[in-house]
Amino acid sequence: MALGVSSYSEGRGRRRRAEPGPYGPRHPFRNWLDSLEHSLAQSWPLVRLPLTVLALAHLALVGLFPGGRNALFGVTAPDAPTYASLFQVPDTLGFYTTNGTDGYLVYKIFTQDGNVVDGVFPDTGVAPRLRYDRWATAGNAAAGPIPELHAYVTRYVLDQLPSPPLRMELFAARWSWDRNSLTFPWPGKGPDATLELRRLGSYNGLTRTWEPATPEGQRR
Amino acid sequence: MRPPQTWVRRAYSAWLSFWYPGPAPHGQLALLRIGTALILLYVLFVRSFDLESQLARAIWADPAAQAALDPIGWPFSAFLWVHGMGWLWSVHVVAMLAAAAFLAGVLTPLMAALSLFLQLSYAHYNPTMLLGVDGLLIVALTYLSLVPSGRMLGVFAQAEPEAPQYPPYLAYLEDELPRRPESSLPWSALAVRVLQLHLCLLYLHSALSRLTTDWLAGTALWHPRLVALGALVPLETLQGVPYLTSLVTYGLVLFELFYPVLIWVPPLRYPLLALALLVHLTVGIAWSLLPFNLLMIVLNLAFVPAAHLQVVVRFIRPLLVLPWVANEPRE
Repeated sequence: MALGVSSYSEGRGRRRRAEPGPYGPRHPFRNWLDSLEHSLAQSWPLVRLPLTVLALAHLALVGLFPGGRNALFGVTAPDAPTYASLFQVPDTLGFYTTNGTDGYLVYKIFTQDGNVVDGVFPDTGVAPRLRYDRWATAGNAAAGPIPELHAYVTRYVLDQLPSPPLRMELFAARWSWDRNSLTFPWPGKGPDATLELRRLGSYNGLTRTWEPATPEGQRR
Repeated sequence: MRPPQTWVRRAYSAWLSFWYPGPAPHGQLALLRIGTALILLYVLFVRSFDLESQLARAIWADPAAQAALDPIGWPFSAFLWVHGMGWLWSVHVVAMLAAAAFLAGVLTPLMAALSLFLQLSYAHYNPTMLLGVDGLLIVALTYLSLVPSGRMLGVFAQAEPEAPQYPPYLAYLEDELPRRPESSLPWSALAVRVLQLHLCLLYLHSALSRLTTDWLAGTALWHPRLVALGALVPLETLQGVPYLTSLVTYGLVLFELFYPVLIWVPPLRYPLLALALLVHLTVGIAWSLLPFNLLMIVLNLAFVPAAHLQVVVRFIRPLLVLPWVANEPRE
């Protein structure tokens, strides 16, 4: 039989069995795939050039609009090519903290027994590292200017507590450091890092409401 | 005597031979498939720890926040179509089964497409937790879903499609291995070519994104957040040798900047691939970023000549004890 494709009508009404081929048993489904591939290959001379044009267009979109936006020319892609943002990988080494994605959250919890507990989101003790990185990305996003996320992170942290607190304050945190202390003439000491905090809002345990910080309150 | 070719025909032939450099590289595709699937399985496994807290609708998937964070106009997700924790876990288990089937080489284009769809579902449902490794997986799965990557080292693997060409120091193998008939679609080579170009774009974008104060000052590795997370390298000792850290920092930027160009120069390809292996292994191990960097190493296999990878496949195959993987001709 041409291309070694078995006829389906032969096996109709019975359970199809793998037929022996030159390199081992061949399942009828495998034969069907081969015949499909063969028929596709017949049209190959017609489609090979358009396929290269499509590939080039795809790569051009990925290259010019890596995140749906061309930063060099300040041009945002229309909706259709934003699919290129699916292929965005801004860092081929994985150092997410060195491309402006170093924000995270700090919270202060006032418990019912009068204690004040400080915490960091995400917890650096989370393992494995891939798990921590995912939460760190969320922390960076939540430290940004999206009020809905602040409320959602607060709710998540509250869900983890054994008992509801009286109050909880949420801050966006970002490291500010003197990188020049490590450049020429190298005084030979570590970076003098300070943590910049910006208040995002507070949760009132009595009324169970989230109150976003006003612009004045953020600077406190 | 052949008629002289016009420059148009020569350009057309050159264009096609660039995009379709050879027969389908089944061994190369198999190694890309196995590497990608293993990392995909690990990523899904780690997701299992926090599946409910990452994907529970009440916590993270606020529609307004989602719209603000997701750049895609149509944020489709399988998780939007199911409700309840049981269904959430069901979709997750399906994702793991699809990845396992892809690893085993079962219906590879279909399983790669299903895995791609589910990866996009995770990404769209909670774009706040999208990592670089997710983006790389999307890249790899996109191209692997277009080609049959299970023809070798898979449970349905059949025959070696092309006779391998060996590097000079392994030429003796040529006589020992059986020749197999060729049965392949040429667009497998096209997919690998597009993956190569895509990889170059990723390195170029990465290098351009490093033209910031931290990297240009040679101090990016001392970012307090990075230091706070710790590293396997002795940071205290390194801080005492600023020349070395500056060298490493600039070296990383230069590597990423020149990779997209030098990788196309044949004599420099293997040295550059060796450098890529060194860089990604070092960064992956020292800064605990192994899944991402291992996937970068796997994708770099796209640049290894397919014929040379056939030799690797030949050595790997006996290590796989599954009897149906070793598709030797019947006596």
